[in-house]
Amino acid sequence: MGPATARLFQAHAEEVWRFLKYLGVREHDLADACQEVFLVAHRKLPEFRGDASPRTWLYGISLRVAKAWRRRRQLVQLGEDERSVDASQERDRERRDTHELLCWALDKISEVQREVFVLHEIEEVPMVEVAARLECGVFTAYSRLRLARRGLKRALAEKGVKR
Amino acid sequence: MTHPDLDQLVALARRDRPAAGSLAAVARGLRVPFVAAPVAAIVMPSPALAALAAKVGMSRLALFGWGAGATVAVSGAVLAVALSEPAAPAPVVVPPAATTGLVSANPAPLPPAVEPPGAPETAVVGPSPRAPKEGPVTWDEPKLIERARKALGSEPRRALALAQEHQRRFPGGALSVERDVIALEALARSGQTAEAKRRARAFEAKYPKSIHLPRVRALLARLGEG
Repeated sequence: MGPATARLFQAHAEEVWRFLKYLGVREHDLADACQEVFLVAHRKLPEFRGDASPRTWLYGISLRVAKAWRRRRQLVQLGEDERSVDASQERDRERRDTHELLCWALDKISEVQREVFVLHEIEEVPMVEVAARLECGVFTAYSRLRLARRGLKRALAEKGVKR
Repeated sequence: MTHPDLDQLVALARRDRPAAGSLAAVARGLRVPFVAAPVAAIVMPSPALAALAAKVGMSRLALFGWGAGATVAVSGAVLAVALSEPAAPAPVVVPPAATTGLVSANPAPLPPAVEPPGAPETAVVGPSPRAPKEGPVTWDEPKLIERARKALGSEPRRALALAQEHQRRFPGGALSVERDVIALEALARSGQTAEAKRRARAFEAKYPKSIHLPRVRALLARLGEG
């Protein structure tokens, strides 16, 4: 890895890590997924034109990487049901820490809603950039955000979180 | 037991950071140097808070960044460097052989360690726009903000008093922005419109990217900008 990739990693690795986590990459996959993001970034660096900030550029890569990891997870679930352990603990979920609570609720909403919500609400990317990154209109992005909030509140209400 | 509501969960998620050492392992896999960012001042929970945390099952104490503090002690050289927070931190190069179980034992083949020509050297050196907020946070903080928020509808003066209490007790708290929004809404609702407007404008200037900005602007519009 060259110095540019190293600087990219130093400046944004924590954000990429958090972003992947709330996009639904499981805790034990985060290191591998994070590594994958920066490998792709390293490869694509020559294409980076600077029309987005390095951070949102990395988020774009992370969106694709996270999607692939989620797919992999779904395949595993169809097979050996990786989450059967989690499911058995699910009734105790309200006693788990709040980060997991939010991740659990995010699992309950659609992928496109989740992406808008995590980009805008957690990573605080402006909506215009969110829309550009997700290749949808700003109006659509806002609509997804509204639906995401509604879905999350509904899911959290199930867990006794006030709405 | 009660949980923080969605907005509070989001505010806490924004402060979520990987456990110390996790990124160092990724850095080793990528063969890049990495210095963990300095950990914000951590207030270790009081016995009462620790008891509360245990009661609500915060097994990893990850809620308010305590997790980061708790792992500092075991994180070894990388964080030891980070904690000293030098003006120009010397990169800690970890030998690639020291890979831990966190990253695949057989990572994907690494691309050649040659920087492509025309790489945007300067584009990636800027400081992260999302530096973690500093300051001690405790389990009491979201509770206090929640009480203030609840009071807003019926008892704006009480909401204001609670916001002031938050300011006093948690001056650099994780929910300071939320507190400011509650305070200026409380001012508006209790008839102190001039002060509410002044604070709303100050908020606009201070937090130009805040997700609360639409709410603050709506308030300004309601009060009449003049």
